[in-house]
Amino acid sequence: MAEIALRNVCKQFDATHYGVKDFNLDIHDHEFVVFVGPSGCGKSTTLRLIAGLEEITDGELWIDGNLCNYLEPGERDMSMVFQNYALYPNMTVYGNIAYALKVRKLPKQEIDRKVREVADILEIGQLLDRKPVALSGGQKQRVAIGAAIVRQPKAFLMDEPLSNLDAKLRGQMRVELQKLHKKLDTTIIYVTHDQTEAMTLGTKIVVMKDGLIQQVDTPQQIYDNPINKFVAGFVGSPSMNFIECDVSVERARTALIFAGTGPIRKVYLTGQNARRIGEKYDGCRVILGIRPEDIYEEADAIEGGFAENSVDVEETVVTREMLGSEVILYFDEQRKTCAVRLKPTNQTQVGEKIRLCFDMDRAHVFDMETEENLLYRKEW
Amino acid sequence: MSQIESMAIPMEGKLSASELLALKNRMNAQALARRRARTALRLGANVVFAFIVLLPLLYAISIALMPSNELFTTELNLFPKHPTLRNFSEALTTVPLLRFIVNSFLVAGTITFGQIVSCSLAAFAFSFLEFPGQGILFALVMATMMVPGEATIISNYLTVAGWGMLDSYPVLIIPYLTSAMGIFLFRQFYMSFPKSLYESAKLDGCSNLRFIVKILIPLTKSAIGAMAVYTFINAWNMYMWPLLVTGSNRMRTVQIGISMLDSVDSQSITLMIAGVVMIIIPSISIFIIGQKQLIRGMFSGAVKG
Repeated sequence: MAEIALRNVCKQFDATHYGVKDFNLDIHDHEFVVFVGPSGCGKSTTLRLIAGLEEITDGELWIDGNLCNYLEPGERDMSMVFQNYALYPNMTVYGNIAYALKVRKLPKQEIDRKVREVADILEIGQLLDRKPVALSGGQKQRVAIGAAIVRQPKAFLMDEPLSNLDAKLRGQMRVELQKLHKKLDTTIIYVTHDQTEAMTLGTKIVVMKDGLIQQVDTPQQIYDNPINKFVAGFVGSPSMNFIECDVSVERARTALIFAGTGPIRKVYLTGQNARRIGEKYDGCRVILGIRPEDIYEEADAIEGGFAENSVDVEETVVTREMLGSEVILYFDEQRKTCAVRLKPTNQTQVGEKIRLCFDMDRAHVFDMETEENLLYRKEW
Repeated sequence: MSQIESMAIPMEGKLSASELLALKNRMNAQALARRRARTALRLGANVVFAFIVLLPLLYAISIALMPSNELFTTELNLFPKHPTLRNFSEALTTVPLLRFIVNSFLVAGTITFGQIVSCSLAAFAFSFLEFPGQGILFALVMATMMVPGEATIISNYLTVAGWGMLDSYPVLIIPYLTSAMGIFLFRQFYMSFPKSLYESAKLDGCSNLRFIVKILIPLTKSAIGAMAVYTFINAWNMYMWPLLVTGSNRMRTVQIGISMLDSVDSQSITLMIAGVVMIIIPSISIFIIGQKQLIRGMFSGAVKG
């Protein structure tokens, strides 16, 4: 059980090269924190800094009110699950799980009790006498998790633990990890590049890019209220569509006119958003962000009462993906491929045109230069 | 039924069940015979090559069993006509060969043990730890491999002579307790060792030494085996250094003992070969014992592969 605080933590590789820069984060007890970002964004490095496997070049790491920058990894009382499991091949499953306790010189009976308890939780009781070589990927992962939880550390660190498993197993393990988090009631710090994993597992998500934190928030907030274009584009699949638009205040309404030549196509911002953008950005170019599921075909939009917010938005379908429960249509807009997620009853084929209506209540507007979300709602 | 018909997949209904069974058995027998022939051919080729490779050794054994007058004849004499063990007993009495063998074992064994300990520890530092000057230090170690032993042997001799260490076990052993080659070999091996195992052990609260003893060594047995065989045979075969620094029968090693069997006034080739055959046995047995370690792959299952 731990309160972990990172204050201006930096990892500098050389004079100009940072792995992690000015990392500030409070991790509370029982939280499931997920670091997510593209590869090379510094998420694993941050985890390794917390574990003590890398030296912090600047800043402070506090665990339960103690400055821990200079503690050895073994003294920090964290356990880690590695992507490649890192099981000791010369020991049995039992030996692997018991090893950390053995190093800590616990009495034999207690080790035995704890190992069997953990084996029960993870349902690997029948594997205890096997060597890692005789285990499947999923079993190895369970053993690795068992070896991590057996000594009840202050926090678990997990470095992409599921990325070596096949898709189905990954889904199963995801559910089990959630259960485990509830059962153990402990702090988990989890690194992944998979936004689905991040969204489903985390109680708090830390989106990173180029060694910098972009946003720290709950999954729902990250999804609905991204702080900038990067976060908006990173989370969600298919990812958010970005369309360059010119802001134009027409009488009382704020219109976003699609940039480019051809017939004028525009959408109207609604409510508060219209006022916020209209006041400051009249005549400016901005980026409109809209998720594929917030675009509708005309009939549905009329039903939802927002059809009149989109004017002449007609697109030619270039790819059609039928997924059973939904159909995803792709179209090219400003030389970028955009996606819409529609009901499976939609029969528009490749090459045909379709009229689209945006649910502008759920639209985002980003600054061209800074790529900040101009409609970001700060919590207080 | 012709060959072609029998090779084709029999159509249902054309053949009765018993005919089908017979056909199946015949094809099975054919395939089995072909496979046996292939195996026999391969085995035969292997035996021939093994014989060619072993020929010098076999000839040496044959000579060792010959009375010396049989060797010096004008005809080809591959096998002893009157096999005798006199060469062996004479070799053992002419010089204290047993003592030399014990000396060699002691020296080579200690050197092997010392090299494995020192080289694996040094290689651990070079591959798992990070410290300033690591690259330069490693380059320095490697640079010592560029200096031939002959270039330093005289100054080494003068040094140990100055210390009054001549004609003792330490002088035979200490200069060879570590080797750049060994450090290099171990380091290469450790580089392929999954780093996450080390990190995992660190998080488990394992000290470096404990990691080496409990995890690294058990997992690198094959490297240690290879290194041990290589070092032991090298040490066993040392000639120049022992020749320089030892003077008494008490301290001499086998390789020098062998040359002592050859005296100026008698051509005692059979005697020498008998000695050689005797001292070859330990090297070969070490190799046979070590071979198992060399082959065994210890890494399977460590990480997802």
